Amino acid sequence: MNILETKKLEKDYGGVRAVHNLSIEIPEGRITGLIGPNGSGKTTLINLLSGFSSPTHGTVTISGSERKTILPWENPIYGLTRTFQQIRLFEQMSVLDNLLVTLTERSPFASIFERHGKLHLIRAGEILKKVGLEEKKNIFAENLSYGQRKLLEIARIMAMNASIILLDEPFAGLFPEMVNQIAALIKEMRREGKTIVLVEHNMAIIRELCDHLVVMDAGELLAEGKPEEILSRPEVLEAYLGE
Amino acid sequence: MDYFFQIFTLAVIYAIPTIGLNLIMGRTKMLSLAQTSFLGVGAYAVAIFSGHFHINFFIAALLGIALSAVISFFLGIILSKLSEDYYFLGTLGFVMIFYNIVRNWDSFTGGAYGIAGIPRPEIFGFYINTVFFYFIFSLIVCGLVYWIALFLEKSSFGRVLNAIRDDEEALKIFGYKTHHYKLIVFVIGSSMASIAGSLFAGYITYIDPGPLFVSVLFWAMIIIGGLGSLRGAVLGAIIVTLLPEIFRFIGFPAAIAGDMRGLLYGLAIVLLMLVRPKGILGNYKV
Amino acid sequence: MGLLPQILANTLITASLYAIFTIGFNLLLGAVKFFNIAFGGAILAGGYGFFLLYKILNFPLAVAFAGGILLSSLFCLLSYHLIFAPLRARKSKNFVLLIASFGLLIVAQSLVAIFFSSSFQPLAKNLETLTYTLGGARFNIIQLVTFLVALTLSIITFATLKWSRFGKAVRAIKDDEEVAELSGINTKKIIGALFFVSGIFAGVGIILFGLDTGVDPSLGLTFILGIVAAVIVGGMGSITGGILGAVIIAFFQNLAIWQFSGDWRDVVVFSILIIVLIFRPQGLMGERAI
Repeated sequence: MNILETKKLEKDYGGVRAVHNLSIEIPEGRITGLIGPNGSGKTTLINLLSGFSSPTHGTVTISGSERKTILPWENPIYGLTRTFQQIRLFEQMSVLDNLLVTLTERSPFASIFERHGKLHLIRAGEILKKVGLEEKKNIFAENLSYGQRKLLEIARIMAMNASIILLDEPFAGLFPEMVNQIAALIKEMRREGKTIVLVEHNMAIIRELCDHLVVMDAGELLAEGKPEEILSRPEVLEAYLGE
Repeated sequence: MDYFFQIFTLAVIYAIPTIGLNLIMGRTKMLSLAQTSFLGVGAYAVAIFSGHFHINFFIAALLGIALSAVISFFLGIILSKLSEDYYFLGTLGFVMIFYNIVRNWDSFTGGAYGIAGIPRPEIFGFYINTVFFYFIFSLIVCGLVYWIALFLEKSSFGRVLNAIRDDEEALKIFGYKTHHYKLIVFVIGSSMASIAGSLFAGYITYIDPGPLFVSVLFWAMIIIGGLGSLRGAVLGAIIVTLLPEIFRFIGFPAAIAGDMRGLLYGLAIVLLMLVRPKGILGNYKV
Repeated sequence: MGLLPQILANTLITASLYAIFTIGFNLLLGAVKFFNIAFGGAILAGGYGFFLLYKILNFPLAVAFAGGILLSSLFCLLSYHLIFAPLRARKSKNFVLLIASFGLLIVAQSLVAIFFSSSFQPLAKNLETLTYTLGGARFNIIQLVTFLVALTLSIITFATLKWSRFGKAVRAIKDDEEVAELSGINTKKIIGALFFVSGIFAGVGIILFGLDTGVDPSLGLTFILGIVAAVIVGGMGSITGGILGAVIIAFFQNLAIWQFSGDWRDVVVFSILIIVLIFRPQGLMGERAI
């Protein structure tokens, strides 16, 4: 079952074709790796799927419904959430507050009269414990170490409880212990039935985690299929060696 | 003693739009110059409804708030698409339009001559017409506004505002329609300015389209006191109101008093941008 | 329709004035990418500098003219070295620069009001000036000079930008300051010079305007708003756009004066500003989307 589909997706930036004629299918409940050399359009694709960019042509279909104009705040409606390549946390807010924003009332009027109730704090506490940031909960995000920032990002993803999760290089720049920690959290998300799209350069992690692989090059689809099979294909290796 | 209360009453009245500006500018980074215009709306509402039509001061003030809310709502929507710099220019344009309309609409606003003889506020037959009582009255109103701002700050709403300040785009992913929040904040902040305007009119008993309307006074206050800090807003209001009084003691001629104050505000703004954009109590790093 | 030639003439004169201003303003905007509201302060510096030299100290016209322009240029140069360069050096966000420049305008406005009072001061000495009539429109020699100066300055600007080394450096900085710096251009010096040059335009414009009518402290703010409107309408950073915008703003301004009274003129300009900001923020020749 394909939960996410694109058909002939196109994104042009004034002459530069960042994404071209892209038709891919993302299987539900699996971890799909999105790989390709730098500049192949991976992050652009993530932006298109999450409404940070609008396609010049083509369609995006989520769970069978076609997303016409994708607005960023509609992501939760489609069960989608994402991270960013450059980690975007709320720097001058505490770890706890960073997490609470994902849990509290979205409507402005309701949020005026809501002080975080017991329920929110409990849930936030659970998640922080799971990622190991419980002791840091009152520290401002800008004072966290790099690895801790990545953990906070994942914590927010978990709090969103989305069904489709787009991760843009979650393992970049991490030490092996951290890589394993985050890999474990991602595996748990798959156990919970979530669909994950993972943009990564770390081939070892790709082999370990991914059930399905999509390879992009110069904005186009290069290959699609099972990791072991894809990663041994000559054109895929060439795309990477060529860069 | 009277002098002391006079100055402090003014400081307290001025603290109110500054608190409002703190919500608008300090939290959501919307560079709005329009507080002075909404102060004008509140002031003229009292002047016209209470002065001309003899409606009770408090009801006139409420009408002023309602009017400000409506105007700021539409202005907020119009300007909502604009990024920082253009937003600022948009509010500057609005300020000038408002100023010109008030000046030219003689029949309604008294034009350049303004409206005099505004009656003092009256509750159940008791007139607030001594400096001391007005000071207490203003203090109470200011306290109320402060409490409202604090309430907002401590709620989830306040947390969302902080997130908007830090990274509005990233916040949207989590399902927040940030433009709604910004609009509501703008309306609340502008309505607060209106309240101050009504107090001002009742205090001075005279309103005209003077330099106050195009003044950067509230910016100076919020910048000095500190962006993003509620206490900073109040502190800034007190400092900026009190400081020029020193000039009076040094003995500058009254004619240039207004311009001396303008000079002070301008210098304060420039110096603070250079030295400490955070302001004295500010907690938002620029 | 007897008034049409006069309206057109007035439009041309106002447009010439704003064109001079927008060239100076756009040169800066293109290079440093922020709205330097303090340009309004340079306008005041030039106008009142001339006033001081010509009407109070009685220097000859040419000397006072040069002096006024020097003052507005120095104002810009100093504002760069003392305020904007340090702020840019520490990578201050745009709105910090914007707020600082706004504060500086207020400082200039206040100083001018303190030392010269807020009253309107005509800059010309003899009240009679040569007037001409052409095709049903009347204008005086100052207005004619304004038009000619605008034309000349535009041509000089285009030529300089296109052919001179300075002009090429300016264009490189406008495209990408970092790259320009890396390719060996002393960006700080060039930008400093650019500030100085923009001050020249401010001074020239205000002195011509003042000789035709006069100056008062509020002009800094009033002109800046018109300049910003023209620049946004025409497209930010684009010299051609600024001139085009100047024509459009001038047209609507004069139309407003004709249809309503002069009092509503400013309302029209500011309304145009807001409308353009909403519907087409990149202006006509826009090179920069928001």
